Amino acid sequence: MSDGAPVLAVEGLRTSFGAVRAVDGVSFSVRRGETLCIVGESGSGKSATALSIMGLIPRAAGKVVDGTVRLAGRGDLRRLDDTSMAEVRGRDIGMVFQEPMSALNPVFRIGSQIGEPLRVHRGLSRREAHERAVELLAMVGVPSPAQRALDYPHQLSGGMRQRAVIAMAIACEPALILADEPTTALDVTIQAQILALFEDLQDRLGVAMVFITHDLRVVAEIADQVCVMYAGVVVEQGAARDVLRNPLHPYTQGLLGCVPRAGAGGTSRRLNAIPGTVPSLAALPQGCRFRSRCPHAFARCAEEEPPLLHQGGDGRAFRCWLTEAAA
Amino acid sequence: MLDYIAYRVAVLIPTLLAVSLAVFLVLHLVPGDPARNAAGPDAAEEDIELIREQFGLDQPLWRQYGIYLGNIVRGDLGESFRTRRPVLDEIVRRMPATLELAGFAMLFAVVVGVALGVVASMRPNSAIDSAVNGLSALGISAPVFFLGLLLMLLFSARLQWLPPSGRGTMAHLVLPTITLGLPYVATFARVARSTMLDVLSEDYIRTARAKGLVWRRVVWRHALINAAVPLVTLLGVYFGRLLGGAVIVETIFAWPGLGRLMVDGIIQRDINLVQGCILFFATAIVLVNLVVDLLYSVLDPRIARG
Repeated sequence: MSDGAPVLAVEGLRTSFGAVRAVDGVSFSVRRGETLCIVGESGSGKSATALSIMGLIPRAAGKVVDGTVRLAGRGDLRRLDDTSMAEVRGRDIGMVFQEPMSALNPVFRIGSQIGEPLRVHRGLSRREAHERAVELLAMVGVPSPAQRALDYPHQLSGGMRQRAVIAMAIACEPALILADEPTTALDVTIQAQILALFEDLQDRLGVAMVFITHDLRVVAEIADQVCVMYAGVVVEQGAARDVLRNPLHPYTQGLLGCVPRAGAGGTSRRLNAIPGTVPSLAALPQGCRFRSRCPHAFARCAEEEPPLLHQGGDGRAFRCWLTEAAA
Repeated sequence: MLDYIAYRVAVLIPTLLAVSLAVFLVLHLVPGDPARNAAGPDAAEEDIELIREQFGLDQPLWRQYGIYLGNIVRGDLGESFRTRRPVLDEIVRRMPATLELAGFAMLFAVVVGVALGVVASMRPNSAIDSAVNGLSALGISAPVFFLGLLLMLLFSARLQWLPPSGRGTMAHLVLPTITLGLPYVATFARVARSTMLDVLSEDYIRTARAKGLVWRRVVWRHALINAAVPLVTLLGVYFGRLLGGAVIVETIFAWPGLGRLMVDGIIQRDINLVQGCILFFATAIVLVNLVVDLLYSVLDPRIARG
């Protein structure tokens, strides 16, 4: 599936909210038909990364200070002016949000909200946009789409709302879908359905997908590539298969230890929690950012922040002195 | 929906009953003799007594109120003590002028106020925002009579652009409308700004931007409709105050409306006339608020009908 030049290539992205460096030098790329998962706890900078790519960091709060965000055919998005960036949003990148209720405008009908990007980017008439919105609703598995298109958001269930948001994101057939925890606010059974929908859409449309989540089970389900973020930096990245099977960073290892596994001889295994919390981004410790919570920390971890160390040629990289020493 | 409207209209009756009773009591309990006033300063005691009988002022208070209510139900607001013409005719004759003034002032307040508030909210803490803030502080604190005289002095006396008083052409309407509407421009600007700032921080605004809408369209289409409910509420609340302001403005600009009619009535202790005017104002306020409540369900589909 993954071939050719990347659809999205992020290089050295840095985003600050005042003195807080929420995203501190993040790089990754994703190709057509490929899914990249960004994993991390709250406050790790994964949502800020997504909003930075979209150019939607609120002006009053913060800004992207460095790096490039290259989108195939559009060049570096950071160099675009407001109008050109507005053209990219919704047309080249479709975004799906965490809370499907608050992400939809309560006073507009579902159909008109889904059709709006088509009217803005493709110049469709109100009627054409509405007809297309009904088709899109059918495509994302909403039953009786013609009626639902006339409903208001509060009349739909959570799962249906998220399907509507997804329909809105894919309306203009974007090259990239950016999904910020799209399953987090949903019931587990609905989560599985929405994940299946994403996989299905990707197969059919061949889009590149950046999927932000804190749930490693989701990663195992859909990711081709994975970026593990901690306190604003990527601590480990690579092919999802490799990272999940053989995590090289103690944080990734800790995250994997937190996932409950049924059967597979692991029934008596106790669930591990990573002690402590993510350090405040306003007052990061010297050295490795994960040091205070790391069971293996040693002297060097306090002195020097480990760089992203690359291993092999397949994009596998990690940020840990320990693994370097062992390698 | 129809049931709901019928219910709301039915609820108006006790409200207006209470208003009529309150007005009746206040006007009959304040010192001064309306009959003596109506008869004139040199009238003989017999004449005054005659007027008292004629208007039923010699009856016990509860009985006067009963008669008054009975007449209202038949659409009879009584006769003016002074002109001897039916109060209802007087009100109907003066009503267009007041509705014209109040309507234009409200329109002015809503359109200009909301536009200023929205523009300010688009760039919070910018120069435009500060300018709007300063202007609204000024608008809210300037007393109507002072503002009216100031405008009259500048635009009529000094520049001679606009007529200082009276009613007739659109030019006559300008100064009274501005004087009456300006404090509400300020209020609407402030509320529109703060409501818009709340709305603009909502998730669906981010969604709208993620769809590729330009900021202008996000603000004027996606945000403003969501800010409309609190603004419409304000409209209901301020319509009453605006009518109160009209009494003063009509007096300043010699605007031949209900406000002046009522002020004259108060000075003359023309009880029937004043009662009629207040009852009319109360009915207008109550009806506007009913319309406002009905508008909610049109503006926000989440508010259940009925």
